Amino acid sequence: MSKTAPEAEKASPLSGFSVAVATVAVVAFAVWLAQISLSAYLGTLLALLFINVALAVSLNLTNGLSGLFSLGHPAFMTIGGYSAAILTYPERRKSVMLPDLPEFLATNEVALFPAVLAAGLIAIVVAIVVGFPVLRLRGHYLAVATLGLIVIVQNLATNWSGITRGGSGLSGIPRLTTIWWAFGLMVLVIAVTWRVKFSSLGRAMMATRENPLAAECAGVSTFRVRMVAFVLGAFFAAIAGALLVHLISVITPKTYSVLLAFNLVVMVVIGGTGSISGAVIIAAGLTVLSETLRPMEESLGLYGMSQVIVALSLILILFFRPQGLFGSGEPIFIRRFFSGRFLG
Amino acid sequence: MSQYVFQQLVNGLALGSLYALVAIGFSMIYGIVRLINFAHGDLVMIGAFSALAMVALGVPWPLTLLFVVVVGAVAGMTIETVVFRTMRGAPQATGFIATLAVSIAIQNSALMILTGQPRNFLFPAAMRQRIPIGTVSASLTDIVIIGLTIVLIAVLFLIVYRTRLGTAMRATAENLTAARLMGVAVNRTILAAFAIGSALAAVAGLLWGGKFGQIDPLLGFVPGLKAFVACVIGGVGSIGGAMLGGYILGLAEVLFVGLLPPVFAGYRDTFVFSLLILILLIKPSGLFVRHVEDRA
Amino acid sequence: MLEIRGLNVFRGATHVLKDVSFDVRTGEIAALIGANGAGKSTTLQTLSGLLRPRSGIAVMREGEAVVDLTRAAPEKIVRAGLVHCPEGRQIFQSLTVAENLAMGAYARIDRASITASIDEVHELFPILKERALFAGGTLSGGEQMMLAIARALLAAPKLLLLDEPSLGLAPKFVEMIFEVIVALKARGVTLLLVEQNAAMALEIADRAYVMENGRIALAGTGQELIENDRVRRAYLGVVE
Repeated sequence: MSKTAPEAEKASPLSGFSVAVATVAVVAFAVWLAQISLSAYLGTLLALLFINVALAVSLNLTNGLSGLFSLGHPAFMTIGGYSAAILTYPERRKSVMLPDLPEFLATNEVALFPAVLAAGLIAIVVAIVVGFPVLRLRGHYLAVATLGLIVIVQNLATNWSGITRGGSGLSGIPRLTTIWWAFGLMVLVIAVTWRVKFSSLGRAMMATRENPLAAECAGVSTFRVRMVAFVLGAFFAAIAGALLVHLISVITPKTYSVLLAFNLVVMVVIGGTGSISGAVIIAAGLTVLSETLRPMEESLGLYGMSQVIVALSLILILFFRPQGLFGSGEPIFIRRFFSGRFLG
Repeated sequence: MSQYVFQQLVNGLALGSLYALVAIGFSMIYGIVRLINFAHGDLVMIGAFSALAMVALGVPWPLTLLFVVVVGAVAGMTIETVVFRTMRGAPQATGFIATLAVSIAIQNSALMILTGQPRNFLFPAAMRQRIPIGTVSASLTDIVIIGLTIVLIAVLFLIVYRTRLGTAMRATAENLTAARLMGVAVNRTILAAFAIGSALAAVAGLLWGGKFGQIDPLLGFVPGLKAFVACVIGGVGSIGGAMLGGYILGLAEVLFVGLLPPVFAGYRDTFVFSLLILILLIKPSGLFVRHVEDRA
Repeated sequence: MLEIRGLNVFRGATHVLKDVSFDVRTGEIAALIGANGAGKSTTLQTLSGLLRPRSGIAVMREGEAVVDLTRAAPEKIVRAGLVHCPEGRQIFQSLTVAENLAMGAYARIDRASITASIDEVHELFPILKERALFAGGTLSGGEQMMLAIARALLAAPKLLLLDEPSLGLAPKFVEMIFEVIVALKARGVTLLLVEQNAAMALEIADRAYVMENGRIALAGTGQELIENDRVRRAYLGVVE
């Protein structure tokens, strides 16, 4: 393929777009088939898989494309999860479990969509406030600072018991997340990330990743680029966190922990830093794998085994294929497919 | 001095000693291989559990301490040889992810073998008595923690500043290539740094168990993270800075909890990590380092 | 003493040294001159074991001993008597002057002879004795160069590789460094000198090589190269 992907996209924007729409439609049909034929458990698993893919791809937007080493996703998921859960929580339960809630929260009960949107917006505000100090840090300093952010958020969630009900968390959150919500989020995140990657913003991000100084010299405001990547990632993380609590119906300060941050990083790294296709495939694979291993762990009484396997495979990948399975690009057949060029 | 304030000070010093022990090793390793070793905190856990095993077998405490030192050193050297050495020269992020993976692997292996159930870890009854000092008193456990830490740090400084190995370690930390040209087998020097640093963390684990009375497989996470905070306070890569940072953090934490109204007590970790972000923002090279070379 | 045949060295994908062959004989000063990026420093780094060649031979013969420089670890090479004093001084800034010297003697074991060598370099560079307890980073550029050479001498070199010892130094110091080099030769040390200051290097060199684009372009005695037209135009700045 002689042309680069963005050019190819320009060459046939309409067909590219229609291919994407067609793909979504086909997958949606498959999801519908799955939904009517699968058990409730498998349906939930599929929804979980979609949300994990959304999370991995959104982390890839932050870490993969812009080279920020953020581990802060769980912090934003916690923020999103609590925000949305408090909004959708049934009024009569609120009076029992959260008697100290401020008036306007205590008497209102919101539908899922506005709640999720509010969760995303709150995360954006937090990400901007946190981003100002944190995004000036480089490399592993940023990583540790964002880990610190997880601890801070968990600590606040534990102690701010008037709103969060403390360490025991909120249970009985209405199960509002259907498979379609999860699917929709996944499509949204992939579409946005794909658009960003092959836009001038995406090129600015990758320039910032490869050589911040050179990017600055070329007129890129690396700080702004990092901020956009961080905030977008936080927004999606919060929405994913919000949908997830409405799927599993509980949230505690420890629901989204450092372990989750690690697993998301695993998905991005194994898939290939910056590769959207890689993140999608690995996130899906890892979700299925850990769900398959879970019964084995339980029957053997070896809790933690699957996590050990994941960690060791990551180390092996870092040894033998440090660029990840897909490098930072998209496999050619996928690019060609979505640029519409596979037809002619 | 009132008993209350004195008690808080001793408590803060003891906690600071534990942080210092972990932070020093963390800093040594960073100094020599420029690696934020996320698995360092897990050596605290390994130290605590190996002590518990010895005590269960009826091994006397001094021997247990020795055993913990050996286990820590061997564990640190194993991690370095098997994982980190192979990744030398890889980009910073790769190294960091690798240490994270090692940490997760250690924690979950421990979960697998030991289950997540916290276990009681008790120093002998004699250690729990209070020793009167003038008009006030302090717990013997705290005094032992503070005393042992001072001894260990003194030994460490002797090694680092008065021996051939120590000079080689400092030389390697500053300029790896030049050290190789002097005939330093840098891999062995790096191994020594891992051994010493990890042994200190393991001892911190033993003392941690004794001070807090309970241990579990995830116990290393918070000390590991706080060791980083301590290093940032003192300047990452500097041993003296790490020690000072550890004590400052320990005292600050205890004073935060002890002197503010009880409502704030739960916000201790929020305080610590906000402090981290604040210091990183204002003085990223640490509070006590005037200039720092940048090898990023 | 040093025999190099068909050496090919890569840095990443870049082919830096291409079929480099040359010799250094025992007791002489050999000079390697050439422009920036010609591959001079790479040559030295390969000889001291920091870089591994893709192909070629590099051996050091010292009496009966034969060391394969393409395989031995840097610490083995130092112990065999090949000592590399790197470009840009690279002294340990945070270590004291005395500790820097001790690092130089790191590969040696006999304490009495180390003490004797330290006395010797103190005689050669008295300033280092005065500053023994100061951190290396507090010395001036010229003093740091002296420390770098002194540190290398403490490794008891039989063959000393000097990379740009005059770089960035005041003329006074440059002359002093060259005097030291000649004095070292008189004491039986073999030297391989990499220099940009071609005029001075060729003047004291018994044998000299010109390196261009990773190849040895010219070889001869120091005097021959001084008289060579190409060398005069390209490296000695003579306009005719």
